[in-house]
Amino acid sequence: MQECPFEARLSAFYDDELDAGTSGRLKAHLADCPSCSASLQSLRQVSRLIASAPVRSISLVGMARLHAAADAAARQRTVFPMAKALLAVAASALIVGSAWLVEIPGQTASPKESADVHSFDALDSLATGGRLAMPHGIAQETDVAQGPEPLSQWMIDNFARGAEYENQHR
Amino acid sequence: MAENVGVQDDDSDLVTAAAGGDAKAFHALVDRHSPHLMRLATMLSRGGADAEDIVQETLVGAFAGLARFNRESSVKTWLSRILTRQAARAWNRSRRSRMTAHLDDATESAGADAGLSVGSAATATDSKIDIAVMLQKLNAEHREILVLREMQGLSYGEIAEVLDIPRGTVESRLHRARAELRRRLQGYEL
Repeated sequence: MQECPFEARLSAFYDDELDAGTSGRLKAHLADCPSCSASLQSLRQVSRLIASAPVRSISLVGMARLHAAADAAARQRTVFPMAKALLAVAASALIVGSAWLVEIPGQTASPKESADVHSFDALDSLATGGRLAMPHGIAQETDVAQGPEPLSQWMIDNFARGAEYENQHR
Repeated sequence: MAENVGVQDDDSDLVTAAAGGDAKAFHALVDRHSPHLMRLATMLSRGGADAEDIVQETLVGAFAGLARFNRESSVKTWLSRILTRQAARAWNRSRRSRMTAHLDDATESAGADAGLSVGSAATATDSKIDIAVMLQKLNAEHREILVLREMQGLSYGEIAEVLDIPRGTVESRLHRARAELRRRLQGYEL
């Protein structure tokens, strides 16, 4: 049996989702079409049936779980941005520090005068979390082409002197 | 209608507060929307603990995405959209077990709980129908759209947003879904 051309629009008519013109034409059609009238009646019955379905409501325990999950999600929202910010600060410090170490040329030999004093300044600075102080004149006296390798050698030397100084003054 | 507008405004305020870190506001959203989300989850899942898990995943996902909520749709529609996707994932995950053990178990337990019985259409002329089980037998697209329309009462525009499909597709799919359900109901007393 061929389906009535209005049949496909019956759902939308039933749901009041048709424009006024189409809805009016379909309404007029229903008076003359037993098939569409029966289908419309069937749609109502299906709706009633679905509406009668027993619906499980959320249990008290389930509700408590939801609120606990909401709290956990709230904590994540608070902690993650803080962790990200701290990570960003740490990463920035690392990048700046690395760049600084690479850019400051090293020196295998310490300056002849006052090197010890400056190297201990550097150690003090390290101990207080500050920037590593370079002995005066080191940048001027160092060959730029030598790069970070002499610098690390200088650091090893100065740390060794620092340890020696500490031993002497105990 | 005026009441809905009021609820909508309240929802919007709560979302703003929750997005700003106000946990109480989010708890208020949980209280307000959990019941309808639970109804939706029950019909789109295997029910019980599964439904609660889906609601929980939905709310946690919503909380994480509060800042991305664009307010073009209602909070209810937005949450329904998240839940529908979560339910589809959960359904697919459990497809294999559902195809074997679940339907039998669900039929037995639902029938025992509610005093209903389900059988083939040919033998069930005088039986009442467990519509929840019947809906589970539909394909996912038809089940989703019927639940969203018939149980959640969403408009075609809202369903289009939830399912991310054109409005015209909502109409045609709903028509086919109802036709399929009616075919399956032939032989039952309505």
